[in-house]
Amino acid sequence: MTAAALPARSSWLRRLNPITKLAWMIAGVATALVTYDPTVLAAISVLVLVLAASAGVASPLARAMLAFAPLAASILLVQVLAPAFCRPSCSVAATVGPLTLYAEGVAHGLVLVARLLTIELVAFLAILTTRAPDVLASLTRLGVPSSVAFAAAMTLQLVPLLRRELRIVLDAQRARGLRTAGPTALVRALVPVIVASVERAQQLSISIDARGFGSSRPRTSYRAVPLTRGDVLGAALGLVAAVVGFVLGLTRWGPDTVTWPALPAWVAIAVLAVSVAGFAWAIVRALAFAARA
Amino acid sequence: MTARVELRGVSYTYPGAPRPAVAAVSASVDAGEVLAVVGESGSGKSTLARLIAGLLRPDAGSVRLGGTDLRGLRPRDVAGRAGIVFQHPNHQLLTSSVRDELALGPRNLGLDADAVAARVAGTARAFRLAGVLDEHPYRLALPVRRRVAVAAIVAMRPPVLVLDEPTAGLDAAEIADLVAWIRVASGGTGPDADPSASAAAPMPLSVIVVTHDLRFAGSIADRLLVLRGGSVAAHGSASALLADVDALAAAGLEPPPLVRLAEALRIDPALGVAGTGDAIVDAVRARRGSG
Amino acid sequence: MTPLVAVDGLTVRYPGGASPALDDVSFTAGAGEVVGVVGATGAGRSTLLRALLGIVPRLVPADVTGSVRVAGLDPRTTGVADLARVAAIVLDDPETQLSQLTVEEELAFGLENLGTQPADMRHRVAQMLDAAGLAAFVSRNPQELSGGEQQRLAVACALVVRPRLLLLDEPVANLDPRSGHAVLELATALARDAGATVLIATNDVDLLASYASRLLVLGGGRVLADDDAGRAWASVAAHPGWMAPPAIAGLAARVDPGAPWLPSTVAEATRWLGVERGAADR
Repeated sequence: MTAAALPARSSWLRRLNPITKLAWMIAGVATALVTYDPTVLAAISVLVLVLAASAGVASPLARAMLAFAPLAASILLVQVLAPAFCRPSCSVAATVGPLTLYAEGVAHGLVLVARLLTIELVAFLAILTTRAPDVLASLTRLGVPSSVAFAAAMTLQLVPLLRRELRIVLDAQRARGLRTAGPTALVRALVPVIVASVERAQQLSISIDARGFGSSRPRTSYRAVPLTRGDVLGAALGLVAAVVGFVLGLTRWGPDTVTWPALPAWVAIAVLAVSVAGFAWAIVRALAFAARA
Repeated sequence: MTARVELRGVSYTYPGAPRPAVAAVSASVDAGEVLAVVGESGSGKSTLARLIAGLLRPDAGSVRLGGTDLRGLRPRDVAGRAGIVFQHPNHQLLTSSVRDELALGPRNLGLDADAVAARVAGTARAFRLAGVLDEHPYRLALPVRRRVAVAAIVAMRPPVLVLDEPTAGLDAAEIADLVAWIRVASGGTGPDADPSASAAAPMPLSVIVVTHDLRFAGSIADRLLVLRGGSVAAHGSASALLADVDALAAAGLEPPPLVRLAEALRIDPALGVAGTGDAIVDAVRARRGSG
Repeated sequence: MTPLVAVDGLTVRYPGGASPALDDVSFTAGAGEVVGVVGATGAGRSTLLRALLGIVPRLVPADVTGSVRVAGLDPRTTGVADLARVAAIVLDDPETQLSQLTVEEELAFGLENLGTQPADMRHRVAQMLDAAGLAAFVSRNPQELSGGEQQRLAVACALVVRPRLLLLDEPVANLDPRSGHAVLELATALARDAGATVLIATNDVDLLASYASRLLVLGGGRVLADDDAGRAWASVAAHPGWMAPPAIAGLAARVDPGAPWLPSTVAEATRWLGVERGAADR
């Protein structure tokens, strides 16, 4: 979680109780998951962006979205070329050589991408404005056993640690004349990293045992994330919003109730072009990564 | 001479770091020489080691091994010219037997099966690993694992050998072992003693040792490179520098114990560099009781 | 008064080991003592420390005979939490000791395990942060600290639970001398304030010399010498096969062969030689 690395501007969003934030995140995700209405999706996204700007996380958020570009491009490409459904029949928006672009396919693809982006925006806003230790402390407060919270904390620590170790192991392999890019090299490098991780895990478990962890005595908690009545109310409202949004999404904002304006041909072709370009760029990047020596 | 190492104005900054880790460092090491790179924690020693081994590309300046600028080489091609042994042997043990570990490097360099076998046998003999050739490296004790890691690099016969904190976790006897081995390697007679003379004539190595153990540095180094904040604070003969209490203090370092003692006794600090030899014993005896 | 640590006839044999890791080891240590545990690799230093905590045989299988008592408790039968209240250990690698997301939570971890009241915890964590010089890192991720800072944190974590026995197993093996001194300085100073007993197992006998006044010299699982540091080093110098003494003690042994007591720091050496101290020294 990167919240700790961001400038410490104290915005209300950052200070908001993680449980309340979690509840509203569920509201946003639940609604976006079932909604087809682009207006609703746009409204949620704009709200998220405004909140992000106010909390000072607008640019990390934008960068996180970029990571999903390849996925969005591939979804779009598939939907445009081979729509999953056509009811009762699909109207042709344009023809490009041997390819037929269906209006419903293009529309459906755009909506899927919009849903994907909205869900990511909501989730990342919550992640970027919450510190991991606070999340774990809140979960413990909710009754999650401390060993689970501990395991979660350990896992979060693992990622940078493993990355560091992997780099050293790859360096050592290069020093022996082995290739260090491509899938085989990574797999081969994993063995020492895994062995080191297992050894470290064993030593760590001995360490924490020696510090009294896992005894039958009741554990107390150091980190107290205050949970006020306002926080609980906010969380309750968030869960209510989740249910309402979900129901509305299924009934009033579903695919049958949304009417699309007729899509001009150039729109369909433009969407195809963008999705092909995005997809191709993702493939090229992947190949370059695999080929790097 | 392919073993000569030349650093000219080498600088390197880690991506995202506010300051360079290594700034305009120049130094050289000749075949048969041992250079100890010393400095406080964070002075850039390990970064310099990686630059010499070609694992990092300098942002400015050049690293030349045997006259060839590393910049023009692919990372894999540097492997035959400079070998580096890291602090934690586990990161470098890549196979399931000591024999395979020793064979891996030579095989990757393109040697044929017979030559590889000869290298393995010769290196195992030189490092006293003949008895554990079929053992899994992870099952060996730390000093033995470290010997395997060093041997695996030496089996590739790189003219330049870089050791990063090789004494961490070793006791005095093991360190003495390491000292003896480094002297042999740098002189060029150790691991080259194999009967199949398909290899070139024994070649003295250039050895660069990164260490914070100044006592150890005193026992193996010909020359010393003292780093401070990424730059060169002092560079010269090891025996002279290790006795230069002021120069070391300026770099945040404390001299080896016998040098400190010599200084406190007001006898020649240089006597304290080489350890407990006759010269310092006599000097101390002479000082005794003189108040 | 019963000693804090009492070991009698302790023998430890690991499964598949040709010879015992510890062979009939007996010694005692009183409150407030700082004892160095030294010996060549394989002498049994780590095994001894782990046996004092019950790690051997409870978490690392081994055949253990003989008696071990720490503050009257038997580590083999006492519950984990009860022993954690009394004895703590610092290892050589911070990565195997630090697991929490912030420095203050790392300090609180042991206290949480022992069921300390939150108000008391806050007070003790704040106090220890200051005492260890780590107040600036309170909310930082321990992974971001340097090796020396991490080890200081590990020492702080061990001492925040106010143990009566502090064990250090190769605490400075991966550190530069300056950080090593900082870690040992912190450990011995805080332990002294709390009246705790400290056992330091290390290869770096030159560094140890400034901190341990008493030595337990092990070799092949046996106790070779158990004495005041100066006399212990004299025994070591008289038996070249045991281990290598600190540089200064080794020199002193050559200057005065057969001396019953050898200095191991510059200060001790200048006094021993009857020379007025020259420069500042440790």
